[in-house]
Amino acid sequence: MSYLLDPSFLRRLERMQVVSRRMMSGSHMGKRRSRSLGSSLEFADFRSYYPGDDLRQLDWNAYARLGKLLLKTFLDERELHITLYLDCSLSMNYGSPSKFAQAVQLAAALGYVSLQHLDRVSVYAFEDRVTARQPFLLGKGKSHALFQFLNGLRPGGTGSINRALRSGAAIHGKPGVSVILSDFLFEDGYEAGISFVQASQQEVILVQMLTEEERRPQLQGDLRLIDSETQAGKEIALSPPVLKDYRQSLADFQSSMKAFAARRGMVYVDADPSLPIEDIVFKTFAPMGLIR
Amino acid sequence: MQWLAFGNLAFLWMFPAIILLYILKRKYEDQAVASILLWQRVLQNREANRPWQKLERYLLLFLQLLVALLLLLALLRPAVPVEGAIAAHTVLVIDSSGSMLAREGQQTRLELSKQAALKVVEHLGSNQRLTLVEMGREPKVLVSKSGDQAALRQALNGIVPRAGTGDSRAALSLAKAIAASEPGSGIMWFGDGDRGRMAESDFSALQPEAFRHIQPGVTQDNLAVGSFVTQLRDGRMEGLLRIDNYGLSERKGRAVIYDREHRVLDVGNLTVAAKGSFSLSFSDLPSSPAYEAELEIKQDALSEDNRAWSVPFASGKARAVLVSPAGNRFLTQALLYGNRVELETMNRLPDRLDDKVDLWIFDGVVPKQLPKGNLLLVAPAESASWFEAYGTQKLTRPLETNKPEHPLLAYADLKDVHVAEHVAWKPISGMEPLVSSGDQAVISAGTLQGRRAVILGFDLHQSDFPLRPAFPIFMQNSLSWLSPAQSVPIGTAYPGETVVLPLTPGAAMRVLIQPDGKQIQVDGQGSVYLYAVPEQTGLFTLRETRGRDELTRYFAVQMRAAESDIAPKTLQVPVYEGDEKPKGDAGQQLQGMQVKGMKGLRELAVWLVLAALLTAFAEWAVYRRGY
Repeated sequence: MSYLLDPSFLRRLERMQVVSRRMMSGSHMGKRRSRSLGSSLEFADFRSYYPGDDLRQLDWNAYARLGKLLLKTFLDERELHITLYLDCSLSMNYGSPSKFAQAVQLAAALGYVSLQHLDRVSVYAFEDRVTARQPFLLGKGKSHALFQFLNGLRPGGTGSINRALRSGAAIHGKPGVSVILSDFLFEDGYEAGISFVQASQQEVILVQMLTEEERRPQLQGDLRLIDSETQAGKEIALSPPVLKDYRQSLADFQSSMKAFAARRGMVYVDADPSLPIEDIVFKTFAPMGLIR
Repeated sequence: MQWLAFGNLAFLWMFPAIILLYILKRKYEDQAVASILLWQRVLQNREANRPWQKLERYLLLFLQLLVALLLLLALLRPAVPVEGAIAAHTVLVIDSSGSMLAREGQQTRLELSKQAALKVVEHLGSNQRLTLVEMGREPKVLVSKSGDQAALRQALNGIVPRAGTGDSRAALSLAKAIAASEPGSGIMWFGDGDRGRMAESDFSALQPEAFRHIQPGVTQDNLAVGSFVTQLRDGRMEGLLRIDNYGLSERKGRAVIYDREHRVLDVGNLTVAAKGSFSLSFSDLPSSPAYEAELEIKQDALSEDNRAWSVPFASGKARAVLVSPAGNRFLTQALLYGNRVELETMNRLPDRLDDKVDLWIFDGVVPKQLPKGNLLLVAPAESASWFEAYGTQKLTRPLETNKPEHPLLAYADLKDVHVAEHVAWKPISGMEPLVSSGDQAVISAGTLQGRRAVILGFDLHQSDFPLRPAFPIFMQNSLSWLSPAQSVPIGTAYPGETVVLPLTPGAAMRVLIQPDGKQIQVDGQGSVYLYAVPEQTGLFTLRETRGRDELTRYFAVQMRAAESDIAPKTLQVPVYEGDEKPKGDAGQQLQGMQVKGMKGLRELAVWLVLAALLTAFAEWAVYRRGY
């Protein structure tokens, strides 16, 4: 799937990983430091030997010095569970390149990074319900499957993040990091759906993608604005005061979303889909400490 | 503001039409957007801010409505009143009296008035006409009911400043009469509002809106020579100068006395309080046939009244002959008093009446031939070819004074005079009775075949007249009036008026020299000459040649004191309430003089159309920018 992401970009991505603020406790070995003791090279503590313990883990140096059989324990390294939620509603199919295309690439990049780090990756595409999913990908070898899955996604239908994420189909039950890629322009809001995801032990990263046309509309004249999803029309005579009001309204919307994220301990990222994907990853995500 | 074509209000349908067009035109283009979520919020916000902000988005509509409004206003032809004619037919009265020579800044009031009147002419509507009246000594109609701007302008420019007075009452009457001849007329009065003989009642018949007074005057600072008299006393010439201040502030300056050749004789400093007078006296002035006083003051609005001339009293003696067969001590004493005439007394009529005698006094006799000089007839009981006596009659009715203002009767009170009998005579044309008893003339005076004559119709011995104080005064007045020579000055004349010049009998050639040097031949028959004084002030000279003698007499022409009071006054038509308005004949006559809304108008339609055009451009720009 080299056309989805540039090979050189992929190579750069291989050196990165998705950052999580919490100790992971997955059931599979991964590259994440876990709170459980395990078989990594990272020393954790000593404990007394009990019969049946693996002799290979005895600390013979300690035995030589103290005459006691002590067992070295190591921290277990576990995989991180990265969940990517991709908004596939029709409203994402705007802009050039379209928000959707950029979201897919971003999902591919994040998924690729995570697979490279032996993190577990689940991808959910949703409109007003989950339309497709690719759960529990693990290992570098699954990159292909990830890309193929992403490639097969097409935008369509009316979006409702609340209904989609609150349906059981969008939750896999494992704690981890959830990245939601959307424009968050939903008729019925976004709070309930996101809260539901966060409640399933997820660190939530909200990536809002708004096109240039949405940020600074260049429309003029008397227009009937037709919503791409609902086909509802809104008649409006555009004038500079109206456009000014629109920009104010957008700023209000974004700041209320930021406030929501801050209140709930989520991360809000304003990603501009008109930027090249490399810039989004390295200039938007990296400085925020979301990947390193 | 008036609407000259109010009927065009019918074009009001433009507005609903535009709004209708707008409603029909308002076709929205479909534009697909990702989400209208944010737009919905915008609309919600904007709808919450109704109604004003909602209107903003109809900028184009409003511009179109504005264009339509401007065009509609232009169609209604609005016009604002300007300083133009106040009626369809306006009578412009221009005051050209002496006080209009007062300077307001660089221009005289007359010039300012003419400019204002020219403005009226300029703004004359196509259906308006003007009548131009100059308020001179007698009002003159210069242009009558004309709309010809060139003629009006020419007539206006032809009005020249005069030093004389104006008859404002006559001008107002004339203007009212002209205005009354056509309904819908108005009067515009350009002048400083000197009322003259005008009475409040002269205005009562006018509609307030039919009369407008345009006042050019502001200043009232004026110093004038009130009087200037010179007199020979004890062989020395004395002068008295009175300066009147008409202004509201104290003025300082100096007065210079010149002689006939304009050489400075004396100078006096003067300080005149506001609204006050100041007298300067000069003694021992060098001898001169005439003197001139001139005020030197800074910033005097009216300079024409700063000069005055004086001809000294008694510069020559008249020759008088008294013919009194019975002898009359009263008459002789009265004539000798004051040493004003060279008196010759005769007991009987001479065979030949001397031509060189200035004044003949016949007491009880009447000569067959009329002598050349002036005449004083006392009790003329005989008839002659030029005079018809009816005989002596008893007087039964008390004496009545018919002409108290006549110079002969000045200061002479004949109330207590009793006359027993008098001579009745046939009335003579040119003579008017000054005092009469019933329908009988007792004292007459006037012109008798070109000479001045006074007839005292009773014998002084048959009356207590000589015992009354009035007698010497009457006799002195008679001498003054009858003496042709410069025993008394000719008197002050006023510009534009007529003056009676007593002529020296027997003079062969008489020349009148005006101050501007112009010479006029006086071919006067008899002893008086009626001279219409031109509109100029100064010292006039009357030069007469009698035989080898050359007699030179002077008289001064100066502005009337009334013209020196230049304080601007307002003329206005009193406004009466309800039935208060007096209903005189004039009032009835002018009832129809209601001025309809016909002011001097400046149409604004052109500007409105221009504004509409500009707005249309603005609309185009707005449309281009897509608001």
